[in-house]
Amino acid sequence: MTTALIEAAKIEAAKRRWTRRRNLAIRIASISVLLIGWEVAGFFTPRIFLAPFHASIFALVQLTLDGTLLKAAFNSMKVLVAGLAFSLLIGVVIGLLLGRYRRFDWAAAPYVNGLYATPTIALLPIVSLWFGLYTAPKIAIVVLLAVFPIIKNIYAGVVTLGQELMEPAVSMGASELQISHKVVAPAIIPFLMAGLRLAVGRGIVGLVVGEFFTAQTGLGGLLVRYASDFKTAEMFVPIATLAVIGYGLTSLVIFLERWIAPWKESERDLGV
Amino acid sequence: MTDNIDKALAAERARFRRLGWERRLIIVVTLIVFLLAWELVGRLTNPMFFAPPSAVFDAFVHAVADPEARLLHALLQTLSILVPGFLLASFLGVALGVLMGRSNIAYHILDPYVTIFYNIPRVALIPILLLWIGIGDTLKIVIVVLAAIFPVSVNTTVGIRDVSAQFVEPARSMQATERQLLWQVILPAAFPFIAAGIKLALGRALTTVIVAEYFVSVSGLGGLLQQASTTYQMALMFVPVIILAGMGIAVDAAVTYAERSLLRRYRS
Amino acid sequence: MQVTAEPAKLVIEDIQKTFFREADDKIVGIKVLDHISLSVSKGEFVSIIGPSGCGKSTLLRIIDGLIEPDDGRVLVDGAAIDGPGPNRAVVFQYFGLYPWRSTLRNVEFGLELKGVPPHERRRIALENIARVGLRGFEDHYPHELSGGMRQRVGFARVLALDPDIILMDEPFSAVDEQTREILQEQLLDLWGAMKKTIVFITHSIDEAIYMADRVVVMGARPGRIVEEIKVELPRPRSAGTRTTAEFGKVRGYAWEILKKIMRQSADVELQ
Repeated sequence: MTTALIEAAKIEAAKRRWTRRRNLAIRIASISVLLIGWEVAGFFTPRIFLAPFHASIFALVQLTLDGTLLKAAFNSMKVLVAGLAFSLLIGVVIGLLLGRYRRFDWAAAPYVNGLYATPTIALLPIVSLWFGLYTAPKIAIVVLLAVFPIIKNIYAGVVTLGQELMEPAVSMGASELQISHKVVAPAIIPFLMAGLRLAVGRGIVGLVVGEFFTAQTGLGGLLVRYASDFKTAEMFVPIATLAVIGYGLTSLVIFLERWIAPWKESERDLGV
Repeated sequence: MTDNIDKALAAERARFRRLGWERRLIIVVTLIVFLLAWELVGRLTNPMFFAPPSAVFDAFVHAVADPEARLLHALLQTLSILVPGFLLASFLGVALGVLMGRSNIAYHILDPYVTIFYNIPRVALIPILLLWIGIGDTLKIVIVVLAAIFPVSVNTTVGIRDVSAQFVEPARSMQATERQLLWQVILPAAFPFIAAGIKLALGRALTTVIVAEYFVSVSGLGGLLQQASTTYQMALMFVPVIILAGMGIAVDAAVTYAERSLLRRYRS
Repeated sequence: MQVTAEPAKLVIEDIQKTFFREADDKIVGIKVLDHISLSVSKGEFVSIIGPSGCGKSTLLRIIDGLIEPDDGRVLVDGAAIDGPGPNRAVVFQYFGLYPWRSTLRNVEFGLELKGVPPHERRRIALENIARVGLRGFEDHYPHELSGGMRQRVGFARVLALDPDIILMDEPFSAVDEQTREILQEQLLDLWGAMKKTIVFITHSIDEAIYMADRVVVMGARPGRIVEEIKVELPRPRSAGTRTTAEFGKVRGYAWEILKKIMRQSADVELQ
């Protein structure tokens, strides 16, 4: 590059750096405004309505130190992970069957889609009556919510990839088992990751709903208890923790997703 | 030569028809098996745990023939929360999404909040909102709006930011004003994304209404559900479930149909 | 060729433009246009040709006012431009049609933006749709049209605005060979009838020479004008023109220049 060009490039680099810093500053300022507003509002409203921000910080420290938070988080995570594990298992199996065997698809798809379309909360009472009141119904709810993105994504994976990848293998004389192992399985993984990412989000919703219902253990249980006791400072702690867990898990899955496979189009499910 | 082709065509058509029949047969048979199994298990287990389709059907008929029309009432109550909540969420969501999509500053101011709210399971906010707003329809609508607004806004923002330069350039070349650019080019171009967001929002809104009705104030279909469950009337409990399942499926089908016809032009 | 006494329709005065790109944590500057000057007479058909990266698309956008140059200016009828204006319009390589609008509505788009009343818009749009040979397709949507047809809609859209200068950015490259030749003929016919000033970017030497009064050859890295070749083939031109000796001579000459340019860039690369 000529010297003039190098100079111009330096100026451009400086401009971009400034923009990045400005954006970060705006974000920090924005959150700060909220926190300050929270603190001020907390002073002017009765305690049972809203506690000032610093009270929640104290509560956070307190609850961490005395172990309540960790115990609740642990209990919640237990349920979530168990639920997600089951969802993965069931989801992959059903997704594969639906995608691979057309007749199974014809038979089962209406029920799967119907269940997916039903607001899952409607099944909560039934589930709790069947599974009891402790951990089992919570896991069941998580599964009910988390399993569908996985089924849908695996199904999409099998169906889309099916033809392009199957033909070469079949023409080379691969057996059914070989095809499942060497062609379908590796090709499915990106779709699995996408489904898992969506399942995490939905699973957490299921977790909280389940814990509301039983109100005994876990972060959801803490939340309900604090709210009903008007503990407005403590109340935000489980919420924040849930948000952090959700964000952390989703980020983890996104990271895994990118690491395992560069992404191709599957569920254009930007939201959830 | 043509004789062979005709024969092949006929054979292919016959195969198609056979598959069509096979498919219908399988669907019908599975349905019958499903109902029979359900009925059998229902008869054999404790009525507290399970209700067979016959009992559910019975409860359904009773509910429909109810002189007080409680079922209809409940349905209308649920809709009276769902519809305004969903519409409000869609409208505000698009507005928010456009604001964040067009203005970088607004984006960075609001994005922290959007991300936070996105990661908080919306149901977790119910106890807090209950504390602040108190029981009532306002609370439920607020909850529904909070749950449904973000899929719409996030999708809208992405749609707006990702509008292809191929749409913007011709308009700018023809000296479109910023306003014209927004309404005539960017919003129509982002429409598929916005539609996807609204579709998601509808599903979320439906779930959230029921949750709100279940946990907060006993009204609507969620309330019916709650009542039936506390009185252990299993068969009765299935009624709102089936109605909700039906609603869910109907809504899904309607949305898919709308999507297909509205988005037909965007296919290249 | 006759040199007219009036001032040039389009004057490009010493344009400079640098683009920046991020490469491994550093910012790299690319001189896309370096001291570009060009003068185009009214009614002239000028082709611009050059290897990828020589800045021809950027130049076109600067002429239209979509991009601002770092230095230098563009004059139309003696006045410096300030952004896009009614006297210039672009036909894009990618067509740039709006999928949610029918052919008619796409062609009307520019008029709509100007605030032309509906009746008038419709009349002008229909007239130009017929002019490009798409009568009967007014209510079709882009996804129902072939590539060649879509490009013609794009062209009708430009014609509807009646600009003095039409800028075309490789308009026929996304279209198959046969359609391409047909479109070239149609463009030349329309140009002959309407006497517009046209600046036409293309990758194809043959196309550049066949269509134009003058061929401007650009080089890359930095983007610059290497040579201007006057094309004195008789008009109207036809398929036969391509096989004449004169055509071959010009083509050979242009090809030599391009080869030299490409060899030069290769040397620059290796440094």
